[in-house]
Amino acid sequence: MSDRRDNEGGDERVSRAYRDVAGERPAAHLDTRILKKARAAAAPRYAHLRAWTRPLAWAATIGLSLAIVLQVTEQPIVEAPTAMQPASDVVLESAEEKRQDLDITQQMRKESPAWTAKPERVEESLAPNMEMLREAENLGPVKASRAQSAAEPAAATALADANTAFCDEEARASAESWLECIAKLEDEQNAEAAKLEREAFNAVYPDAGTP
Amino acid sequence: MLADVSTMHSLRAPLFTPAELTYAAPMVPKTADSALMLRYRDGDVAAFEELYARHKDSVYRYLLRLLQNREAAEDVFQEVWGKVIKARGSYRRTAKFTTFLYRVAHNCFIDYVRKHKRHAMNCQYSDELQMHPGEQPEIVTERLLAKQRLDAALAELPEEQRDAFLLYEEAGLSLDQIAAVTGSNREASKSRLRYATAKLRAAIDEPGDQQ
Repeated sequence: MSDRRDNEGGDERVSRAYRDVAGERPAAHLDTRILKKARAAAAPRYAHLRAWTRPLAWAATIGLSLAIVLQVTEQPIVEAPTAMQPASDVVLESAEEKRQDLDITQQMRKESPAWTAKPERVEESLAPNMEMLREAENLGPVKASRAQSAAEPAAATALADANTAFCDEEARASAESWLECIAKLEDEQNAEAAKLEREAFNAVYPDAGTP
Repeated sequence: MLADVSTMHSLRAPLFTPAELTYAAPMVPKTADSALMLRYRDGDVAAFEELYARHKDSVYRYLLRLLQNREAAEDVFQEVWGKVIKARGSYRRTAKFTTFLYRVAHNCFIDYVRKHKRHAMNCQYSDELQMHPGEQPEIVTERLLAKQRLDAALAELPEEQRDAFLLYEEAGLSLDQIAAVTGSNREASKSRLRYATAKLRAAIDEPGDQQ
């Protein structure tokens, strides 16, 4: 220490004298204020929100999951067209549904006098459906002819479906059930429908032969 | 030695007296100031408290003797520690912490002097003196006079010399560190310190001339 003082220009006696008299200290209120400031500066911002972070995250996760589950369960199941099923089939299926609706309506009109009393109203109410049906029927052959080059049997089915859709898909699933459906139509004296269904059947199963 | 220890155990005597324990405490290596500052930067408030406890008195006395006004010293003292707190995020262990701390204190002092043009020169702190227990009144009076002489001599010093002396005595800085803090070179610092010490020595040796 004394070496340092000699080299650097200090004096031991002066230092001792200074140390002896220099004993001032900052007031306690300064200590309090500065330490309070230091604590406030070190505390992370939004620390009071940290306690809520985890519950909020859980609530958000659960809420989102529920919303997704509800969304999925409430959606109607629509079969997407497969690679083997041309887009025209989907349109034709829709057309078939519309046709069935129309048949039911016509049947109800025959059975119930209320329907016959004001037929114009029924026609009005069915007008949008009829229009969609016409569009589908016009669209069907176009789509089918496009698909013809790619898949001939599928196109034939589509063409047949456009004209005849008296047997449902379940009936058309196999040759036997389809033939049963045709026979049923014949039994019901629905010769026109049976004829159309038979044509469609022959287009799909050309080798099956006429029963 | 082993026999002595076993004898002590058998007599149920304590291994260390309280005086020995208080002597042993300073032997524990202290954490470096820079490490404490880095810990405070990472959010450890206790590290700042330790750092503050180590340096608060010397920084306060440095400012008190530079400014020669208690209120001004308290204002600047708070400003200095406020800047240290604010600088914690950008603090890097590039220099000794005391150099950093006293550079901040020195700059705050310069700013204060510039802002207030000329601070009050009356020595409002010169009546303070720490009483030692059992000290005789004559000795206390003698010390008080010595303090007044030293304070008066310090007040008479040019600002640069007083600054260099206080940095040397209070902060324990080397000449190079004093030069870094005051923005001068080593030789200028050495010269200032030497002149300051010589004048203070003269004031201590010849009390009659100072009164």
